[in-house]
Order: sequence, then C-alpha cells, then structure tokens
Amino acid sequence: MMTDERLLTLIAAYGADPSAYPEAEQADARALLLAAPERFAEAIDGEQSLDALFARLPEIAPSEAFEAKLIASGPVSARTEKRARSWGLRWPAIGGALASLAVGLTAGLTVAAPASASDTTAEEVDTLVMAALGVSDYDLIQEGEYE
Amino acid sequence: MAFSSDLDQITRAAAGEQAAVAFLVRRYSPAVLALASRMLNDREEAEDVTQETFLRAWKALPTWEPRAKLSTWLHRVALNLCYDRLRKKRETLMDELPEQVSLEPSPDVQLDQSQRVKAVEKAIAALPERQAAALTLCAVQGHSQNEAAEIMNIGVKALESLLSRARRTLKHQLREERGAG
Repeated sequence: MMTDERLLTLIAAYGADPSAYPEAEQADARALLLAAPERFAEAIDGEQSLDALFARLPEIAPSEAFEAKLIASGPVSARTEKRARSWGLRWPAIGGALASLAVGLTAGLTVAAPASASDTTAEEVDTLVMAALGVSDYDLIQEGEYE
Repeated sequence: MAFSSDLDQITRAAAGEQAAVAFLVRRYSPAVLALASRMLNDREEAEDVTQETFLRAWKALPTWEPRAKLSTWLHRVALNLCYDRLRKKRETLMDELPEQVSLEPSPDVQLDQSQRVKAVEKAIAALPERQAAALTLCAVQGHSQNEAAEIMNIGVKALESLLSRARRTLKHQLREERGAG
C-alpha cells in the first residue's frame, strides 16, 4: 500500500517520473498520483526541471582510439602468445643469418675483386677446349707453348 | 538476458579471444567512462580510471565467478578508483579554497541551455562523492535501485537518502539561478 509519505520520498529520491521508481512500487505510485494529483503537484513540479536537465546531459562515449587501446590491453590467447614468442626467438637467428650473408658478400666482393676472374675463367675454358681436342697441358709444355 | 551471453564472452575473453575482448570493451567501456567522467569531471582522468578498471577485469577473468555480474563489478571498481582520486585531490587541495560551483549566470550573460547543462555536470561532480555516484548511476545512467545499491555496496534505503540529498542540493542551486535570472 502506497502512502503519501512514501510517494513523497520516492519523488524526492527518483524524480517526477514513476518509471524511475523501484519496479515493485511503480503501479501503486501511479495510482496514487492519479487519485490525488494536487497533493503531489508541488513535489512533482520541483523535480521535473531537474529530470529535464539530466535528460539533456550529453552522452559520453569512448573514442575509437581509446577503445582500441582497451582492446589491446586485453588477454592474449596462448596460441597468439606462443606465435609471438616463437617469432621473437626466430628473429635473432634470421637476423644472424642475414648478417652473415651480408658479411660474406662484402668479404667476397672485397677479397675477390683484385683477382682477375676473367683470366682464370679463360684459362679453364682453354684447357677444356684443348682437352677436347686431345691436347693436354703436358703436351703444350713439351711443345714450348708455356715458355 | 545479457547474463549468459556475458558469461560466454567472459570465458572466451579469458582465453584470449580478441572478438570477445572487443565485445566486452564495446559493451561496457561507454558506461564505465561516463561514470568516471561524471564523477571526476575530467576526461583524461576518466580514461585513466576506465583503463585501470579494464586491466583489473582482464586479470580477474580467468577466475571469474559465474554468478557475478560483470557490469556491476566494473562499475564498482571504477567507482572505487574515482573515490581514491577524489580523496587524493581533496588532500592535495586541502589548503586551497573549495571551488564554488554556481549555476547562476554571469551578470551580463544569460546562461543558454548548453551552458546550463555544463553547469549541471560541474555541479554533479562537485557533490559529495557518494551523492554524486548515486545520482549518476540512477538519474543519469538509469541503473535500477538494486543495481546502483549493489555497485555502491549500500542498501536501497541509504541509496534513496543519498539521492534525495543530491537532488535537494542541485534544486537549491537551480532555484538560486532562476532567482538571479
């Protein structure tokens, strides 16, 4: 049973709209307001402007960037973590291999450059051609070719 | 209604499923951020509180009690973090004069509606912390009495008392404004 005193308490706490009152008391509150509106008019009037201001308060929403930050702070699955860890372990090895390759190439170019690669290749080709013709180095030396 | 689906999302989020983590963030961060913003009246601080709240949630998920309601838990953690910050602020500003919050228009400028709304936001944040929390949860965010009382860890009667006092203070300020206008 809703009393005047209880209804005035509800209005003072929750405002002019009975739908904001505890669910179990809403129907009785509405009935009493309809039955004797004059007894509560002053109290209702006093709360209505406040309710209207609350309704006009702007919505506060997180920015997309902030939302993304919150999501990124969340738990990570064991599989994702394992993958990340395994990549973390592999990167030094891959890096080492790349570094070795770079050092090898640099060293190769630096050291090999003074030697005449084309001379060596030409000699080898000559030897192959002579061998195919049945002439060996020994035969050429014997014939004074190397003198 | 949302309860069982929440539990499912919580389990999946605890296992590190990104879609579930995103679901929980999108579902609850707006309300948590709004509560912290109203309490602290400072967006940056409100974001810090929201982030700390979610970090604590992520830690709590693996041992989540299925009967607990995530929404209530998040609001309660956020509210306690706000209380901590407000208390620290109060201690820091103890020697300074408290800021007088007024809804009155300046002598030559009539407050328009948006200014009035801003003044109300400021006035809510200037209320005693538990009154501000009760008002924000019930009147602004539309939580039920039981939810708000549970978040604040108080009884419904105590909640009603806080709400009445909060509204009385704000109404008093509005009346003064009208009188001056």
